[in-house]
Amino acid sequence: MDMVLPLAMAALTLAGIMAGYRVGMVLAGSAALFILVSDLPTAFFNLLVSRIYANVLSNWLLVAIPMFIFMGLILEMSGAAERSLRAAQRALGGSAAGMGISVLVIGVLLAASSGIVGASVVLLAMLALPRLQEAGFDKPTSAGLIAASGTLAILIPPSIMLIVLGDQLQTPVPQMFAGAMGPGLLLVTVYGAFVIWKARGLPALPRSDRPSPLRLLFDLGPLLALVITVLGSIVAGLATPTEASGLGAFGALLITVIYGKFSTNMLMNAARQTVVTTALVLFVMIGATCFSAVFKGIGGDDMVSAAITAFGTDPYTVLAVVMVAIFVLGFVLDWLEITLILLPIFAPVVAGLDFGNGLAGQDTKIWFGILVAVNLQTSFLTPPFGFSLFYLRGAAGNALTTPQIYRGVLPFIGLQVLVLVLLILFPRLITGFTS
Amino acid sequence: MGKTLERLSLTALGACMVGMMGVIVVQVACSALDVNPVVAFDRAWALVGTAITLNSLLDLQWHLLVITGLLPAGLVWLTDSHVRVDFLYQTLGSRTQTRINLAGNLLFAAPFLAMALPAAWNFTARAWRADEGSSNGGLADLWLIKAMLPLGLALLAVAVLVETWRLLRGVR
Repeated sequence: MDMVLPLAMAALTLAGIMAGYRVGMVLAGSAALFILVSDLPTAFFNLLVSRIYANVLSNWLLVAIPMFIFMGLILEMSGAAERSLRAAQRALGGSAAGMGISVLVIGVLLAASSGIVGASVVLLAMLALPRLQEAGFDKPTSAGLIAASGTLAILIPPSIMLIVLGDQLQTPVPQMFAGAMGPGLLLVTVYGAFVIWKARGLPALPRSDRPSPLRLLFDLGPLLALVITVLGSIVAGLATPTEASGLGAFGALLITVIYGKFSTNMLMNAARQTVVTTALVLFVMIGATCFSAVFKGIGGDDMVSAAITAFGTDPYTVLAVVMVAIFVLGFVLDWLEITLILLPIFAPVVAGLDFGNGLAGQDTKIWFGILVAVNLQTSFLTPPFGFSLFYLRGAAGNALTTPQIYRGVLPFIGLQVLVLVLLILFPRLITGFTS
Repeated sequence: MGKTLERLSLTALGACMVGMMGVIVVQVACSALDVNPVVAFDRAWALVGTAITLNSLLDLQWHLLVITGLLPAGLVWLTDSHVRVDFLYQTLGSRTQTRINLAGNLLFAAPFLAMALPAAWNFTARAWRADEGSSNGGLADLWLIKAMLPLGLALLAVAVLVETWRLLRGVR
């Protein structure tokens, strides 16, 4: 009997989202409807408005979201990424393995500077796909490497997903950033090993020109300096994420000046795009705030905790259920919806468990948050609805077919799952960086 | 006409975004150089009071977030840029899409806006009556920022009405 309302609310919301209506409004609308049909007082909406104001609007931490988006867009327009990729290819391009590694290195650099998956995948596809094939990589491997390298953007800090996760879990964002470094490095290592293994037996490449060290410094230096300053200052505790994000956007602007790409028109284009992206992220956040408050109010969190402990209350069983649920939902839903809707419900259940792995309280939450982050990052790569695959398909044009892309990402999804298992077994890989 | 208005609004809000970056840079520079208050006045001015302090700058950052995040909700609605899970939606014919949007506007948007608008209005009115200011020595007149909530929702309601009217007339 108690389950009827929360079940109906979940079903209505899922139906609305799947039908393709705007996600933020589906969430906000079901909240309104279920205030009306449940015995929650109509005045509950006053509470919701206060909560939207307190949690979303007057949340100084969230200022970092538009600023990191702004920084990414300005960098995209500065041409710094193209420059650095060309420089890395010239420096490492003497062998097939080197060419593959250069794509991975630039994927990491883009991830640590802009953090926009779409931009990274498209750029790598445009500039690196032809080179990878010249180097002798087959099409699926090239596609997989590009999709996987570009997708690192959502995991490697400063990432908007980590900010939202930290906000939802009430864990300090600098610690989330620090916690994501180990998993990021681990992923890059296993990707790199895979690429070197794939490149065995491929012939060496003719080198056209060796870049001068000075040229290399000019092409790679500014981006590298920006990444180290922004990320370093947050992780070292010298600046808050918000301060670092504002300075980062300003630094990106300086890079456009150095490369002679600055114009008021460019700046305002980036600013307008930032406004639209910010507005739609905030709208989903507002909808999700309404949804979770009402869902909890009608007993939905009891229903969900009953569901995730249905297979047993052993901590690792619960964790496995949560991880599989997020992985499966990741096939159809976006990281933003999963983080905002499910995390507030899952997190308290998981945070209260004792895994017997030496973690307690805050550390358990950070560990769990990063596991969720790696899991959600994987969902960008899973066919058929992985975002990175769409971006790659769009950017590659006729050079790649959809089956080639699917086949190419499979080994990388396998590597992702391997890393996820390692992170569950060895939490120090995450928390070792946070203390 | 519509396109010009869209571009003008986005440019104005984009300028706020550039302003947000500027405010953060100034705030970081002033706290590094230990300059506080940043500007002091010899009389109380509207909005800021007698001085612009580091806390005013911190407050201003999220105030700009509220402005740039809330006001364009309606505009973004009309340009159909809000997040949709569209793997099924994009395979549907335009008649089915129209029906989904009409049903959604009626089922989800109408009850939400009907309940949220009055609540947001009361929320702002309470701040106005209490003459609420910043709790940490930041900007005065908090109701001005709280007013962005009913204003943003009202613009969103207008956008939903305009879209519903267009959908009903079959003009897309």
